[in-house]
Amino acid sequence: MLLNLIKFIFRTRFSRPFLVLIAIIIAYQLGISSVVPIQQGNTILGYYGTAIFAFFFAMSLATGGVMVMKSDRDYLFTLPLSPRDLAISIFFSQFIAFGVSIMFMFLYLAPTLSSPLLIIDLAASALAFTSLGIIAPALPTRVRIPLAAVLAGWTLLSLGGFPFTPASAFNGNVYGGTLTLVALAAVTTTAAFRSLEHIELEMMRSLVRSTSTDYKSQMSYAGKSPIGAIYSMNLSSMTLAGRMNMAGTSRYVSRRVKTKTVIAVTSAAAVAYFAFIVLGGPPQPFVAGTNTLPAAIIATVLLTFLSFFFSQSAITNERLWLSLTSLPPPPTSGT
Amino acid sequence: MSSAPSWDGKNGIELEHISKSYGAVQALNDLTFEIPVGGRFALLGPNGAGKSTTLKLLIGSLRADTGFIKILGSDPYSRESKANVGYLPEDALPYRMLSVRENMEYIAALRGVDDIRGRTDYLLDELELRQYEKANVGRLSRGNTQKLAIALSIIHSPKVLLLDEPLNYLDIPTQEKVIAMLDRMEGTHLVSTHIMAIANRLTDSVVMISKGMFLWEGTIEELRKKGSPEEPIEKVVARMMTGAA
Repeated sequence: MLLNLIKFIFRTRFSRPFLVLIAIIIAYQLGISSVVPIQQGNTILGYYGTAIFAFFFAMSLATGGVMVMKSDRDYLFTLPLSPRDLAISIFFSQFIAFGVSIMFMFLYLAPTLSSPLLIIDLAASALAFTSLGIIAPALPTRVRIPLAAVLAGWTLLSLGGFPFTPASAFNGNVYGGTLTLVALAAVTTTAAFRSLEHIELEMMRSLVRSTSTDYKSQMSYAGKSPIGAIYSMNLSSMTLAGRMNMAGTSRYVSRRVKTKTVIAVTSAAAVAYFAFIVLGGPPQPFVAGTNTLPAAIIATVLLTFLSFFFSQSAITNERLWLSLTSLPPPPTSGT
Repeated sequence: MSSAPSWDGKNGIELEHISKSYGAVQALNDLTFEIPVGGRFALLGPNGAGKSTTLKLLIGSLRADTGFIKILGSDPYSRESKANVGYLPEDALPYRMLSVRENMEYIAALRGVDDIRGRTDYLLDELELRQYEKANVGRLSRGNTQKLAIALSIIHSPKVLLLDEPLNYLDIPTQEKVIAMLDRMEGTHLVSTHIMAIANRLTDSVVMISKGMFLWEGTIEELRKKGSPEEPIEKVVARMMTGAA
């Protein structure tokens, strides 16, 4: 029954075109890495691997969730299956999704992997990312976010030569790093299975946790003309939206934020980025030289466009021309 | 959960003092009702009354904060209960990456149905889905998706059938076909609906809830008698739900 269930869950999440696409990308990466090999011992792997691990650890915990579809809640969870089988199957599908992501990130660098132990690292990392995502919904935000930051910070310590972090294997401490990562994967996987076997099935909603449906600050259009209301709505707030699709599980999320908050945050980030470049910038492998002017331009343009493109996602669901019907009618000519 | 009383074998569905909260929102508050084996009941209630929460508790997707639930004497979270229950959610979404037949055969296989192919063929014909059997579910019309959802809920010939707005999206001839098919089925049926005409066609009794609490239980005939002869039954129900005189 377990194999049948795993087959079912795999088939309902990974379409044939998706699997073909994975095969093509893997072939492409292997082809490219053989044509343009990265030299052994290149420090880029250390920075690249550490950054990706820090990002995935933080995001798995901060925004993770159990990867289930509405169809699962409608059908799979109503079936007479053992909670253990169900937990293994759901974990398996999520592990495959993370495993594929890890493969995409590191396959190109495979020829540079200096030790077979790094393969164990990559497998353990996929296990840990998967498990953290499953544990995440059970943790309150006030615990989850600081924990995600601590985990990312701990991972980044490997750049300073600390031997016992999840990314230390990429920075010369293969044994310490592997040991740390395997231990982390063992702890988080155990916790994830416990969580899956006891979770209320209906609460396995999606990749993200449910949040309050109430807006903290209400916008008021009282006393505004139709055109004034349109300006007010479009200029005072932005909708940050995204459609996630992970191995067949799609979810649309949106958050309304005040425009002045977005401007403040992106400005602060631009200043921080500018200061970072001026004060030395990223490690040498990533920049040919340090020129403050391009850095300033990149910081400004990038963050402006980032906030701009995020805000555009609201328009995709709210056709602009529908608002035009609420414009006041044109003045009559009087003829 | 309080200790469950002894099972007398007469009830298909039994809820005793059920309460369920979602954070600060109290969805069900000390809800108690019973449906005898073979009973055909409609679960009526205004929006937000707790109908969907009740059904999710009955299929074991949610756990009650207090009280106990029995389905044919079993805990709804048990495999035994899940094997006995068929559930049609509102706006059900079968697996979009599978075809109509694949959905039916897979669910039948996971439910341990003996004659998977025979049962699938029967329902494909009965619900006029034969021409779509190889179709990708993501491309089906809403009506055909609903027909498939109904097929999936009854593919294992459940002893207890929980239906949430079963006739949604179906055209009138298909509605009649589904009504006739459900009528031929044995077992205990609980139908959650907003529409009195549907309750009248699919069931003969009513459990009415409001704000998560039990309001009234009886036959549709008894419900009709609560109003004047010329008064539409919907008006009687609305009056009872809102507590109007």
